[in-house]
Amino acid sequence: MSRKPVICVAGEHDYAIQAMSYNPVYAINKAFTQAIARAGGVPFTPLGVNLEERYCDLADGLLLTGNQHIHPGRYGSTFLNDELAKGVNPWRDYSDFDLLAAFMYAGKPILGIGRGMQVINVALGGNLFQSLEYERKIHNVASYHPVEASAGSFLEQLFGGHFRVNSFHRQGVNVVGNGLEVVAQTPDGIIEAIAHQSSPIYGVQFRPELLDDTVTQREVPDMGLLFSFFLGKCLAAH
Amino acid sequence: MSKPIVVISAAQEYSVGALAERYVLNKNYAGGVLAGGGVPILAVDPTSPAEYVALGDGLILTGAWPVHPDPTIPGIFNMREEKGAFTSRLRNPEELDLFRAFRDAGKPILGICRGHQYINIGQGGNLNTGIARSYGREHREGFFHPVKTEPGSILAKLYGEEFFVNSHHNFHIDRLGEGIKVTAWSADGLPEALEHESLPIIGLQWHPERMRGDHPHPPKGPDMTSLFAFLVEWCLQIKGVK
Repeated sequence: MSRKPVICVAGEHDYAIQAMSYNPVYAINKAFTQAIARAGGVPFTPLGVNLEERYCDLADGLLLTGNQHIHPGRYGSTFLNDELAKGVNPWRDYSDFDLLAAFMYAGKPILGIGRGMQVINVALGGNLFQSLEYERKIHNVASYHPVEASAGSFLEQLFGGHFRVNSFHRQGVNVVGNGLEVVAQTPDGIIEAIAHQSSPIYGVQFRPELLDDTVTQREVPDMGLLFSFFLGKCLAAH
Repeated sequence: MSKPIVVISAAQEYSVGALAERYVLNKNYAGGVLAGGGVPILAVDPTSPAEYVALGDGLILTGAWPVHPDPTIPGIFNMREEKGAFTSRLRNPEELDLFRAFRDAGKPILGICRGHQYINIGQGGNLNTGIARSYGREHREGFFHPVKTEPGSILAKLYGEEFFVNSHHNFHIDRLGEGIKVTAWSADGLPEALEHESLPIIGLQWHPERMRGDHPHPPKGPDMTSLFAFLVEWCLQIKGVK
């Protein structure tokens, strides 16, 4: 029996809703961990900071997940407006950026989803649109739209050159980070996926964990394939 | 020697913000493990107990949500669900599998509050599900009280004969499971802690992770960082023996 890849699934730093306690908590949406398990991996969620190298030793790959915005100070900017200042969490920024560095240094595969893709881009020197609605006049929250994947990219190999995805983001990649290339865009030019030119680092702005074969959305592919692709890279990296 | 990996079981809730079910863990559980010298990771897949035993050197079964009176699990079958007790059926089978996997591997297990009760169920014991109803006494919502330890127990060695603890429960372990002995009692006569007679298993009805730091609860209790350090040391010893 082949070994199951172990995946470090970095979650949110948040506050508990349970019993209205508002205790500071670590949280991870089940959709992410279920997507990893369904594709044949073993997910665990790291707790605490300054142990990134130990978490990296334990795992074959890193999944950086969605939800919550990156502090704009991370890319040399300021809050576009007061409303955007409410959505950041500095503990999560520390955790995500340090985990990314540890896994990059070890050469282990990394998949970023939503915010996770933005973390990859910012860590490699890129920056973000803080409000696609304000800066680009595009509103794609809670919708489906087409994307065009670059020829030869991992997304084109998995899903073809044209396919539809879901969309739950207000922010997006603006200047692309060092060593990264855009591998999918919307027809109106929003960056939907990135990949590193030489390392196994992948990012998608859409939310594949919500699009498995149990969700029957017309023209939306089974994104279980994306997680299988990622786990395959994790096993191959040995 | 490298720091031991401590697997922690998660609570589960529905996030209104994310419109999604999620695993959650109060940060203070991880804080206790970190301060005790361990590396905490969260178990987030019900299908992987064997893999978590392979990854981890020890286990913490955490609190939050009383045990659901699940008819599929022996020992819980005859429990009565208290009105207003927010039980979690979701957590039951996952944590029973985790408990059994670590127990069978001989790796240390610390049960806290619900986790402590769950150890007793895992060993075939049962719970009283209504302290207020049964005894007319109140152990919920942060009541604090002294406990008295059994001589020779781990708790007696760490904290002496009598000390204050917090209290956030309406259930208690009742008929004891196989190999389980009570090692501390509340002043009003309820079992407050357990150990297994031969396996590295300890359970506490109170929350040691809240008995640390700048706002310990209760204010007069001992600092329970040492309890987490004890667990980490246990992990290292057993890892070394194997």
